[in-house]
Amino acid sequence: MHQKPASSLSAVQIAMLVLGVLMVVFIWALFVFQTMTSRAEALQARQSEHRNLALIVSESLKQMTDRAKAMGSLVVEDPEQEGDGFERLLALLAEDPVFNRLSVYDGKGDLLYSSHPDSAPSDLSQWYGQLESHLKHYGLVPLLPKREEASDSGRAEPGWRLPFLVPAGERDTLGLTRVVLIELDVGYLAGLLQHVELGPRGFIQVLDAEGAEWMRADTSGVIVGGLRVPRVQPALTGRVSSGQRTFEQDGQRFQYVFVTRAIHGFTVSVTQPFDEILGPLRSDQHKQLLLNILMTLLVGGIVFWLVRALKQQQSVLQALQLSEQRNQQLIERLEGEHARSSRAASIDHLSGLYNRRQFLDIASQALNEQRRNRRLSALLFIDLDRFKSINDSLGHQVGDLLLQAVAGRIRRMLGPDDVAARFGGDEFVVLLAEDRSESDIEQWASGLTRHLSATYELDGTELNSSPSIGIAICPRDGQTVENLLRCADAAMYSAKKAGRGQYRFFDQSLNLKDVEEFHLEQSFADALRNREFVLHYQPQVCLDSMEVIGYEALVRWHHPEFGLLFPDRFIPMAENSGFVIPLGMEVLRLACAQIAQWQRDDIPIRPVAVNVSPIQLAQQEFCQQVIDMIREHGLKTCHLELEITETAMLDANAVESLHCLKAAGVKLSLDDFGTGYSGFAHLEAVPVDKLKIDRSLIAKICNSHDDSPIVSSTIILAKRMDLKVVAEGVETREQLVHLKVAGCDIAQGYHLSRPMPPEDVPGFLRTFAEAEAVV
Amino acid sequence: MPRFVGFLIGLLAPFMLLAEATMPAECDVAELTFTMIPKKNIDEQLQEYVPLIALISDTLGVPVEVVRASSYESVIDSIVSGGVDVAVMGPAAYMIARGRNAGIEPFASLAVDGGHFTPEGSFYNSILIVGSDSTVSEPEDLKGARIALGDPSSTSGAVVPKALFPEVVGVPFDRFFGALVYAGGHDKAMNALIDRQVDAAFVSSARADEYLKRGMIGTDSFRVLWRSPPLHYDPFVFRSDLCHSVRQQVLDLLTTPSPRLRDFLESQHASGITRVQHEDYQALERLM
Repeated sequence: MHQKPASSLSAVQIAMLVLGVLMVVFIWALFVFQTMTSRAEALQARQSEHRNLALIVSESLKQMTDRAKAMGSLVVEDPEQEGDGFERLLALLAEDPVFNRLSVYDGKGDLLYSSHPDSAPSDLSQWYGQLESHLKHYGLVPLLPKREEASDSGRAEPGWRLPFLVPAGERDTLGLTRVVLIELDVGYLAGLLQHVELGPRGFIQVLDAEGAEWMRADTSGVIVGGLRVPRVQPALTGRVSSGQRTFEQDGQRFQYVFVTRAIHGFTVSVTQPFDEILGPLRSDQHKQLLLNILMTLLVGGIVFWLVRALKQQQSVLQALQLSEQRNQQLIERLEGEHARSSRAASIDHLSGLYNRRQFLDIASQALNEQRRNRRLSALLFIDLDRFKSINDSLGHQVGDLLLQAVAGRIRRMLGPDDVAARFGGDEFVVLLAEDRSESDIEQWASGLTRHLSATYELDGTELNSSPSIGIAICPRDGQTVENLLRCADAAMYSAKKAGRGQYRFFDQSLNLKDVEEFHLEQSFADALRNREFVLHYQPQVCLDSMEVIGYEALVRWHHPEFGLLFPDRFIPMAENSGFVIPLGMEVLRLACAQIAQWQRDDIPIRPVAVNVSPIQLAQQEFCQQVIDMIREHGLKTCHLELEITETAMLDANAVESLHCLKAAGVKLSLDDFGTGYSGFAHLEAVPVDKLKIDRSLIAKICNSHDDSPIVSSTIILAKRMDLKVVAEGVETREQLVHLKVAGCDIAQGYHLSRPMPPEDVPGFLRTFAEAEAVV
Repeated sequence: MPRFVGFLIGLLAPFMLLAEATMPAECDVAELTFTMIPKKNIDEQLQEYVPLIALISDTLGVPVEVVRASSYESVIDSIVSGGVDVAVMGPAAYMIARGRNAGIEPFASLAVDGGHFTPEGSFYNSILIVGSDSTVSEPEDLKGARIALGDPSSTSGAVVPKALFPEVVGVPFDRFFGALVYAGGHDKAMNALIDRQVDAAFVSSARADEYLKRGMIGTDSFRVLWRSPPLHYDPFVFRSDLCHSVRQQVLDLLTTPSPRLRDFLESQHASGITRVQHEDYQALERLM
């Protein structure tokens, strides 16, 4: 799965970040707002405080002017007073804490008297104009005169006295009667302000009507110089008016509050720098700032943490999904593997059929189902004949391929409900679980036998095999799969005993042929002992002379129960059961005994050909046994002829026996020539005297010469090899003529004579000779 | 016109009084007025003088009224105008008053115990002090500083520094410093310095010593950057025209040791009272 890149943020994370930013913005906006508000409030509060202070100071000054007015009125009370009057004033002045000096002027402003003559201005000309206009407006009210512009050295001299002009007395035509100049001790005023809280840099000013500074003081005392304050223009009307402004000086802002008493011509102002006003706030603000920074960090931290946690959660989730997917895949794989393994457990890997275990399960279910439906079921136990030798000689690979091919053939024959399994090795089991009758079952088994016996084309190799099949039928033979298997197994063994490519029912009544064969097999030994075997002789006729020149001895079993049995009924059984060797010897003995009998009866002796099984031929002692047998009967070896099959030529022992017999003078003929795989090339290796052309080839001969080129060419080739040619199974005259024309030496068949019991031979010889003579 | 004549008489009255004082006349002094320059908290100062005032009053047999002065100038003005009879003044204040009224006569001064800032004897100094933790180490470093002075008429707190300090730094006083704060007294000036409302202060070494004795400061509270030449202690002065017998009586009283006088001197940390004359303060003249 593709994992999201770690840097990309989900919507939730972005929302969280935005929320965090908003919170921080809110915190800081609140902080700025609060700071500004509290700042404005502090300034406002301090402003009104300062206005009150200015009001109080101005009120105090105004009261001083009232006192000045009172003192002035003393002067005017007695305009004719002598020096004593002024003495009294002096004493008053000395004791007065506020006023230091006093000068008296007349209406024109000329000095009349001064307590300190050296310091008093000689006339009031400089203030006279102001005084006059003041009088017009306000009447006889004391007045703070305008401050003269300070001269260049004036700064060092503090205005240590605050002068008040007190107009007094009645107005005369000239204007004023008296003007008293009373000077107030600034030290007194400064002392009053000593305990006023103005901060280290705040100060109070007393200004004249034009805003010029008369005095400046703070809690430390009277100040000269220092901060330059922009001049205000005090109001010239009204009793008391106030105002405020801010100004900047030396990079600092100042709050400036003033109260003007226009009537008295002075203004009191209070100045304080902003940073002192706001100083107490600052620590709070710093705390708040710190708090804000902490909050911001906290919010930032929380947001960071949340985002990270979310991211982790997301990645955990993704990892979880991933692992879930992996688990899912694992589970699927496991399930797949489980299915595979259980299939492997239930399926035979080689054949693709069920294995034993699974078959037992499925078969028992199917069996139950069949019984419920009241149907017949058949269990077939199939064993391949000669599988072990195939496996050993051709290798396991071919063996496996054969098993697969067999499985495939079985499978193709199954109906939808049928079940097939391989039990291991070459054992296959089939449960036929459809609606079949007994004959259907036999048919199916027969078909299967046929199918499995057909030639296999395996990896470029052609292979012949055959099955032995045992059949058990439910419910007759057993109710359970186990029982049926046991029965089928037993049946299979009996099939195997019966030879290759056989099927047998467990229920013997169903094995009609088999039972016979079984009985035959059982009675074989007895038959030998009881001499139940007899020989029938079929004459062989020379086509040139049309004389009987020999006989083929054909064995018959004169069975007490089944009557006369032909060799195709018991020879295969004898071969399978091993009886073929004693049977062969019995046949030889019978033949020798017959020849000897004929010799004794003086019946012309002709060689008798006896069929010898390849198994018998492969016996090392066989040659000697034959010679001994001939001698025992007092015969010559030329009286006996042995017919061998092509397969005998493949066995080295058999070939050795053939040479031995040939050397002894026993004639050999090759039987069934033209049907097998042997050709003329092989003939050179074996010492045969005759070729017997198989009856199937002879049967094809019709009227035309061209009908049997094989027979013709075989005869020609045999002649070239100096072999006599015997035609078997000659049943028509046309065949006989044809064979004669083709150059065949000897003929044998129904057309000439059926095989006959020995006692019929003399009669036959007679009638045959007569018949030929007729012909 | 008669009014004007009256004024003229009033105007001439001091001179007439002065003329009277020069000749021995009967001293019908109904009461004596006494004042002093506000060197520190004036009420404390007045309290300290109560024993002396009582002594004078008892000795002379007249009530003594004490005028509560709010500034040096008020003392000068009142002694010049003859509003008070006896005053304790600073040397400079005396010189100012003397300049305006030559009849004013110094007659005694305290001889003070020595101290951390002041050598023992009849002299003290104007000192320029800074806080001991100040970064200033030279007087020149105080350029543009906010400086505390005493009263404009204070000898060591204003007059002497203004006259002599420019010679040290080579710049006129008011241009050298950024702002001058006339604290109105030595104590206030020192308070302003302690409160860091000013960067430095010119004060009387005697006042600084007294502050030290009272435990207001420690010996290491201030550093002295500059010290003026020796100055005579504050003179007790008579106004002009005060009748001779009164002068003599007061003079005797102050210069004659007595237990009550000793109590007063102890309160002033003084070792005694010495007689002084105008000549003792004449050296100041050139400074003013």
